[in-house]
Amino acid sequence: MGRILRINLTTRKSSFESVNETEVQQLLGGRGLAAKYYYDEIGPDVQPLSAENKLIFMTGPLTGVRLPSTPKFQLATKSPNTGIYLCANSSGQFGSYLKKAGFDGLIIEGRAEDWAYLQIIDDQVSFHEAGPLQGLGNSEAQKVLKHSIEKGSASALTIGPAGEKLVHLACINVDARFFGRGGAGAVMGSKKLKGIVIQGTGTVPVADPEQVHKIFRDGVAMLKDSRASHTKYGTAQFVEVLNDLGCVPTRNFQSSYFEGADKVDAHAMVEHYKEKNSACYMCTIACGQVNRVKEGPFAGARARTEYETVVMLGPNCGVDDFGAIVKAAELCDELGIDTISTGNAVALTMELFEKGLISEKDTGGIEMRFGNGQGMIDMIRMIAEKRGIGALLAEGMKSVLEKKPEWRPYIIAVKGLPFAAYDPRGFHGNALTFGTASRGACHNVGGWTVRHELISKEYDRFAVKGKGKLVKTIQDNRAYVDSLGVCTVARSSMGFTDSPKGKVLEAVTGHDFTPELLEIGERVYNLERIILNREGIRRDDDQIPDRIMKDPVQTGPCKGKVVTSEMYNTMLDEYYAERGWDEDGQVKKETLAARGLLELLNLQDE
Amino acid sequence: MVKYMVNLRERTGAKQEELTLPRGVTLRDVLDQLNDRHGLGLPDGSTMIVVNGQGWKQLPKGLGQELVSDDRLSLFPPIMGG
Repeated sequence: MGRILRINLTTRKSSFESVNETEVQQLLGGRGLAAKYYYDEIGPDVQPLSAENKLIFMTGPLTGVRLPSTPKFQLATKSPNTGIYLCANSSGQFGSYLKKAGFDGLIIEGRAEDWAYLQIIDDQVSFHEAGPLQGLGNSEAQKVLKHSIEKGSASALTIGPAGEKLVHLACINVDARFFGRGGAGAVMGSKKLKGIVIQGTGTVPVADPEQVHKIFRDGVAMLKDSRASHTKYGTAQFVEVLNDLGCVPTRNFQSSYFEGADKVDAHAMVEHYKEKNSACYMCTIACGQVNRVKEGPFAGARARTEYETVVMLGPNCGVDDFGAIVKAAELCDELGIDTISTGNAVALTMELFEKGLISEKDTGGIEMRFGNGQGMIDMIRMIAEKRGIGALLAEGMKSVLEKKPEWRPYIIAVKGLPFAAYDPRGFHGNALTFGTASRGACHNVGGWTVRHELISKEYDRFAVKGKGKLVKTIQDNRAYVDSLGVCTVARSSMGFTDSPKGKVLEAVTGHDFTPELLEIGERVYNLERIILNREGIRRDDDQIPDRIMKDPVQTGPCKGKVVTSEMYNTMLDEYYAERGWDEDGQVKKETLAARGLLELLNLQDE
Repeated sequence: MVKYMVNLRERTGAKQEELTLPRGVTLRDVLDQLNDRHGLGLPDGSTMIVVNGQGWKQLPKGLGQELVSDDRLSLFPPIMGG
């Protein structure tokens, strides 16, 4: 039976508890199970930065198993950025070590009296003073924590100075990866928890080791050719493709085509900056691209740059200097802030400055114009340090909109979480993705529609009809994947597609959950929506920014395109109908019953 | 114009090329020509084939769609992400 490790920072006590097997069968693990713990333990009145908020880390049944790319584990907490439920997904070794330590999940609650870090070695938990670690950037904090374990290797979760300062865009560093979005780093900072280091010396048990090994070998062989472009270029390969299609956010989503894209695409990256690949646990694709700036004003900067980071710190800020992008990414990583949300905040500042709505008085003397790479880097520091306009931006877009409603035309976010690097005016289904994602405008949780909108025979990317059903299906698909513990880039090698098949789950757990996966995904998504409804989320909160509905794209292949309110709400009506939610976006009782949630959540008598 | 993106550039040795298309030539004819020239084997079930920003299955006549010289054909590896 699975175990959860619960650590209370207030009482400095830890305890073990068993997972509920019915819940595991209904929700698998990872994102699904973490959502259930959130539902049970983090009520609508809990404030994100209070001691009552919790950090719920959860592995999936495949996390840490010797299969292609199984590093993923999930976090559920209440977001200071949006004020609502946050689910987040990360790689790194932490999830695998948690399993090897004998636990499926870890819950952190309460608040330390003074800055602390935790050490977990198998089932031994110890509390350590972290005063001397205050102010350390993530890479130094990671080293210190890992060296604190005398023998063998370890994994660490840390926050940087931004998390310590409770910046609402702060992220949690997990080895070389992050729980990036939603401000989970500030939650950790509010608990005065600088980091957690873990070592697990056990093994991850599987039901049929021989079959698991065969699946591993076959999967690796399949991925070698099919993911060759991911190995060489990483996700940055999408810059060129999506720009050609007119979907790359440019100058705060004023356009969706960047004229300087060939200076910041994957070819430029590989030719001038790529140092090496980096791989997650058990992954042979190794899509991580570590880049180093060799010359120029940003020489020496080094960072792994995904598509999202390249675009939100590049084209969306009008920046065509890849060196500046690497430097900005390195700074975000060290300070511990989300590159997507930060890039969005910088772009907003640039547009406000160019339109004369803010001045150098607000920007600390920086001339914040689109294309100013050094200005972008300086503004990132201001946000992380809460200086000047950075103090407001550090609160996140929900707060920015509340305090500056006149900036509404320029704010590109849903539920307070800024858009990721896709312009829905280039792929209309993507509008629904951002509008209905469980954590705010997220291209992953909300369902990545780009591929389907290009290959479908039924509709193209500018169609409205059919997108509600499409987005629902992809969301359910992603929800089950996030509950398993595998990486989305490698998952098809194990049969985890839109029509899941294969024997992986049976080989690992002894039970064939595969035929139920889409149903489980749908259950997880509905559970998340119940949480959101409980937190007050309705149809009005699922609306997309004015810019996408009213401002035509200025240049490029999608010049002139908008997703009007009528178009969007037509898609939303179809989506709600497919979901079994009412017109205001509330889960209907019959849907709760059909998804098995009435019993699971003990709502039979309501 | 044909645009080769991501690793299609290595496979063809080119970023893009202009094709002069006789009247009535179809997408399939063009792909056959590119296959002969570069050994691409298209359609291969995974490489993305996009004409003027639309996937080939969305064209009114699919692979049988007639193309003219102004049309833009983009080829890139399968995209999966998020």
